[in-house]
Amino acid sequence: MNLDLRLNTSGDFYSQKFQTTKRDDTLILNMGPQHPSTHGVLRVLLEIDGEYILRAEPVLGYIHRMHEKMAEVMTYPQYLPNPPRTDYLHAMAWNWAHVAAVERLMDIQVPERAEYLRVITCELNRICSHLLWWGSYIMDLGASTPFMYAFHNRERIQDSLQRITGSRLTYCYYRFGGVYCDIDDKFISEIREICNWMKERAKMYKDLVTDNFILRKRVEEIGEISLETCRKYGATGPVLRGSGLAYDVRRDEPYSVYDRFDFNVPSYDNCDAMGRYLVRMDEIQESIKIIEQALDSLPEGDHIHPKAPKRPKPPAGDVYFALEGARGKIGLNLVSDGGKSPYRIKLRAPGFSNLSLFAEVAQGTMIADAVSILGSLDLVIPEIDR
Amino acid sequence: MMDIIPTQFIVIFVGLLAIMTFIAVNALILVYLERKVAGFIQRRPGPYEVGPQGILQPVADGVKLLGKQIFTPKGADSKLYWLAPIISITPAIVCFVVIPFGPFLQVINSNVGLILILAFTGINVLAICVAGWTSQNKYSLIGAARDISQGVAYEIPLLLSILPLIFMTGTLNLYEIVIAQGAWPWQWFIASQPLAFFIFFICSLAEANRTPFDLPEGESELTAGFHTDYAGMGFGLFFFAEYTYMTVASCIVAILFLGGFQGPIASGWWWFLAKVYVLLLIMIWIRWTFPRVRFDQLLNICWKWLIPLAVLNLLLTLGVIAIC
Amino acid sequence: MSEENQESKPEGKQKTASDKSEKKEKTGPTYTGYDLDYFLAPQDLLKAMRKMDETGYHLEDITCLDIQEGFQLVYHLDRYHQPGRVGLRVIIPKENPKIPTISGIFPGAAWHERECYDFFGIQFKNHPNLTHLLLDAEFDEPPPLLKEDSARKDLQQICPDREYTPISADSEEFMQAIRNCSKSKNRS
Repeated sequence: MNLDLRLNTSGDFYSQKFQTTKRDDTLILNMGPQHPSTHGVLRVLLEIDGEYILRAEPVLGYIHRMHEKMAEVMTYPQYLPNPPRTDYLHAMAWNWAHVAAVERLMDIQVPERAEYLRVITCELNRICSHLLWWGSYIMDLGASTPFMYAFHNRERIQDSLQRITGSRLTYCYYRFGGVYCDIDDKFISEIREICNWMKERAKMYKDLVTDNFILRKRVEEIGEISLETCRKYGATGPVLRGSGLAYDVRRDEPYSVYDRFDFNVPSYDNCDAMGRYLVRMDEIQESIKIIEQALDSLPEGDHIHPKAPKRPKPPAGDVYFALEGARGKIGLNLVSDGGKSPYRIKLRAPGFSNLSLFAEVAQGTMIADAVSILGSLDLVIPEIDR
Repeated sequence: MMDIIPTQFIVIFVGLLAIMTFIAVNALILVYLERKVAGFIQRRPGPYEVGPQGILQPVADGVKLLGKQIFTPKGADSKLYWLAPIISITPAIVCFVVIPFGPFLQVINSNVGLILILAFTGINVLAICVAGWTSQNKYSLIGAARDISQGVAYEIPLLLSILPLIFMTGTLNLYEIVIAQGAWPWQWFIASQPLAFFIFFICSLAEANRTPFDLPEGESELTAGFHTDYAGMGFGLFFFAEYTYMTVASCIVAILFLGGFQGPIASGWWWFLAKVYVLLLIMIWIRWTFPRVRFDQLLNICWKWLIPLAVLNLLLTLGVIAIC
Repeated sequence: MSEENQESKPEGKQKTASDKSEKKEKTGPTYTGYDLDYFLAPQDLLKAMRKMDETGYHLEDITCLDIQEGFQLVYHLDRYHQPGRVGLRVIIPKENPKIPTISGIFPGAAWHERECYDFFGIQFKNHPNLTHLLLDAEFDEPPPLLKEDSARKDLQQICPDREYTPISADSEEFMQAIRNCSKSKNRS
C-alpha cells in the first residue's frame, strides 16, 4: 500500500511549480477544473496544513476561447453574439458594452425609447444573474433548496424576455443604434407583475435563508477584504461595495439614461462575505425599483435609430466604454482603424480583477471557507478566461 | 434435527433474515421518500417517471448500482478497499437484533442491548477511516479525517445524554426501557428528559453523517468525501449503510424517548414503525432545509455546547433521583 | 443624427488630450471614454504609477496593441472617488519588448501583465511569476495576437487626434492633471 501520499512528483507544469516551495508537513490539493463549487472550470492549487490553507493559486485558461482574436477576424455585426457569451449570466451588459463602444466611436445617438428598453432589459438580466448566484452560493454551503426557488424566479423573467429577445440566457438583443425589436403591452404588464411578486419573495428569502443561524456562521467574518486590497487589485462591483465603498458605474460614471432614475447604491462595511451577500440581495430590490421607474416613464419613439448602420465601419479611433455588470465594472476598449473589423478589442472582465485577490485573501482560511469566499466573489469563469 | 441445532440459533437465523428483509425494504422506501420529500420542499415533483408517481425509482437505482463497472483504484489495497463497505454495513444489520419491534418481536432480549447498539454504531468510524485511506486520494483522505474527528467527538454527548435515562430506569435492557414508559405521550421519557432527547437527536444526526453535519461527504467541497472513489455496489453499500444507521438511530430515539411500541390505543409494532418513520421524515426535512456546518464550528458545538449541557442534565437528574 | 465620419487626414491637428471636448473641428468621436490620455516614456512608467497610486487610482486594465512603431501598452486607471479615466500609453520596441512590471505598486497588475505576455510576448522585468495565464503552459508557438506585417497600422492610423510626445512623470502638469481629473468636466 502506498503510504506516502505527501510527495507527489507527478502533475503538470503548474503543480510542479507550486510544489517547489512546499513545506514538509503540508499537503498539495488541487481543487481541480472539475469541481462542483468552482462555478466553471477554475483550478485552484492549495497547500494545506490540516484544514488550513497556507497558499492558494488559481490556474486559469481551461475555457479560454480567444474572443479578442475572434474580434479581429470577424466584422462588427458578426461579432455581436460573442461578448454575451463571455459572461452568459449578465449577457445584456456585455452586449451593451460592445454596441455602445461602437456607437461612441461613431457618434450615433440612440433614441430615448431604445435607451429605456436597454435599461429595463439589462436590469432584468442583473436580477436573474444575482438570483442564480444566490442559489448556487447557498448550494455550495450545503443547502440545495434555495437553488430551486431561485430558478423558479428566473424562469418567470426568462419567459418574458424570451418573447421579446428570442433567447433565454445569452441575449443578443441590442444592435448598433438601438435594440432589435420593440416591446409590447403584454411584456410591460408581465414585468410589472413579476416585480410585485419578487418584492414579496424577498421577504421570504430573508426569513428563511439570510437570517438562518447556520448560514450566518458560514458567511459572516469569512474572507475579509479591506478597501485598500480592493483598490490595489482593481476590484469593483459587489466585492467593493461589500467592503464599504459605494462605487457604482451607473451612479459615478453615468451612461445611457441612468441619471434619470432614483436608486440607492447599497454598500455594507462588513468587508466579509456577508457584506457581499447583503449587497447583492439589496441590489435585486434596487433593480426592481429602476425597472418600475423606467416602465412608468417609458417614452414613445423608435426602438432603433432610423439610419443605424447595419454594417458599421467606424472611423479610426480608440474608445473605452465602461458599464456596471452584475459582477463589477465591465470595460470594452475598442481600437478601430477604419476597416470593417476592429483592429483590437479588449474585454475587461470584472471577475478577472476580483479573482486575482483570492490568492491573498485565502491565506490562513480553511478549505470550507475558501469555497465560501469563491462563492461570494461571484465568479463566472468564461468571463475571466474569455 | 431440532435437538442438534439449538433453538436459539434458529431464532437468531430467522430473525436475521427478517431483519435483512426489513432493512432492504426500508432502504428502498427511504430512498423514495427522501427524493419525494426533497422534491416537495423544492417545489418540484421528485421522481415521476419510473412507475406511477415514481414508485419504482428505488428499484431502478438498485439495478443501476448493481450494473456498474466494478474497479479498484490504482495502488489501492483491494482487500481493504472492498472490506470497508462491508465493515460499514454489517454492524448496522447486527444492531437490529436487540431492538424490540413489538411486545414479542425481538430477536434477542439482551440485558446490555443499549451498550451493544452504541458499540456497534461506533464501528462505522473505522469503516470510513479504512475507506478514506485505501482510496489513494487526497479528497477521500480529508473526508475520512474529518469524519473520524466528528464521529469520535459526537459519541461523548451521545452517551452522556442517555446516562440519565439509564439511571432513571436502572437497566440497559431495551425492552424494559420501553415497558418503563407508559402508553400516553406524557408518560414517555421525552416529557421528563426533553434536553436529553434534543442532544441525542443532534448527536445521532452527526453520527449518521447527515446534513447539517455531512462534512465527510461534503458534496460541494470534497466532491464526495470518503466515498469519492467508490462506484457501483461499493457506493451502494455505503449509501445503504447510511440509511440503516439513520434507521437505527431513529429506532433508538423511539425506544428511549417516545415509548417504543407503546401507544394510547393498541400497543404494537405499528406504533413503533410510525414513530420511527416520523423521526426519519424529520431527519430528511432537516437535510433539505439547512446548509452545512463548518468543521471547526461542528466541533465547537460538540465540545462547548452539547457536552456541558449533557453533563448538566445528568447532574440534575441525579440530584432529582437522590432527593426523591 | 448619425454621422459616418471620414478617416482623418494623416498630418492631423495635433491637439492635447485634455481639451478634446472644446475642439471646434475634430474628426474623432465626441467622447472617447478617456478623460486623460498621455504617452509616457518607458523609463517614467514606475514613477508615474507611484504617483497614480498615491493619488488614489486603481488599475482597471493593461492592454497591448501591435503597431508599426512597436508595442503600445495602455494602462487604464480610474478612481473610486471623483471618477475619471486616465489612459497611460507606453511604446516599446518590437525587437526588445521589455518593460518593468508594476505589480510591486498594484498587485492586481500581475495577471494583466501575464495576459499581455500570453498574447504579445512582452517581457515584464521583475515579474513574480511570468508564466502563461490563459494559454497552455507549454505553448510554444508565436504569440497569437501579433499582427501580420501587411495588416499592421501605425499610430496616426489608429488614434489620429492625439498628442504623441510623451509627458514627463515628474512634471507639475502631470500631477495637476491626474489630481483634478474628473468625468464631469469632459463629458459632453
